[in-house]
Amino acid sequence: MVHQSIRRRRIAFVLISGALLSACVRLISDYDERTDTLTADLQKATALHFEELRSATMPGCLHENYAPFYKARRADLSALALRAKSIPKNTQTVGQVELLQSSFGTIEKLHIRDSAKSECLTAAEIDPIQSGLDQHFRAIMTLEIAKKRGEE
Amino acid sequence: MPAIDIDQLSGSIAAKMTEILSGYASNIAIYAESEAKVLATSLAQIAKLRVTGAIDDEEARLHLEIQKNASRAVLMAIAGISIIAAEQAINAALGIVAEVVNGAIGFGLL
Repeated sequence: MVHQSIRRRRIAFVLISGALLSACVRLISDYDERTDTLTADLQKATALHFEELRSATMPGCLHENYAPFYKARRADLSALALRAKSIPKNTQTVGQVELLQSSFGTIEKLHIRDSAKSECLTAAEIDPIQSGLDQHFRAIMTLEIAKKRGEE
Repeated sequence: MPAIDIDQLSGSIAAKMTEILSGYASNIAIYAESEAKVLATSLAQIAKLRVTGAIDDEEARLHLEIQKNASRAVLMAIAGISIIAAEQAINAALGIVAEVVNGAIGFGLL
C-alpha cells in the first residue's frame, strides 16, 4: 500500500515536471540576419579603409581626409548597436558591439596622433589594428552563426 | 500503464546532455586556441613597435586597448556559445522526458 503510494507520487512528479518543462527552452536570442549582414558590411568597409591607408602617402594619409570614413562608421555602429539592443536575450552581442564602438574610437585616436606629427600610419602599425578588428568582427559573427543552432 | 524507470530515464538524460555539451566544448576549445594565436601575434607586433620606438607609451596603450576589446569580444562569443550548449542540452533532456512519459501514458501528453 505504502509502496504503491510512493510509486504513484514518483510518477506524478515526473509527469508534472515534464509538463512544466515541456516548452522548448530559449536561453539566448535567435540568429539575426541583419546583425550578421551589418557586421560583414562593416568589416568590408574597414578592410577597404586599411587597404587605402597602407598605400597612402603624405598629405593624403592625414586624418582630416578620413573624417567622413570615421563619421560613417560611427553611424554604422550606432545602427548595429540599436539593432542588437532591440533583440531580447542578446546581452553578449550587445556587449561585443559596444566594445567595437570603443575600438573604433581608439583607432581614430591613433590616426589623429600620427597626423598631428605629420606622419602616416605605417603598415607595421596597421597590422595589429586590423588583426584585432578582424578578430572582433569574427567574434560577433561566430556567435551570431552559432545562434542558428544547426537550423537552416 | 508501464512504470517509468527513474534510474534508466536519468541515465539516458545524462548521456544525451554529456554528448551535446562535449561536442560544443570541443568546438569552443578549437575556436579559443585559434584566437589565442591571433592575439599573441598582435601583442608581439605591438611590443616590437614600442621597443623600436615606432610608437610611444600612449600609442602602445591605445593599441593594447584594441586587442583587449577584441579578446573580450571573443570571450563573450564563448559565453554565448556555452549558453546555447546548455540550452540544447536542456531541450534534448526535455525531449527524452516527453518521449518516455508519452510512452508510459500511451498518448502525447507532452
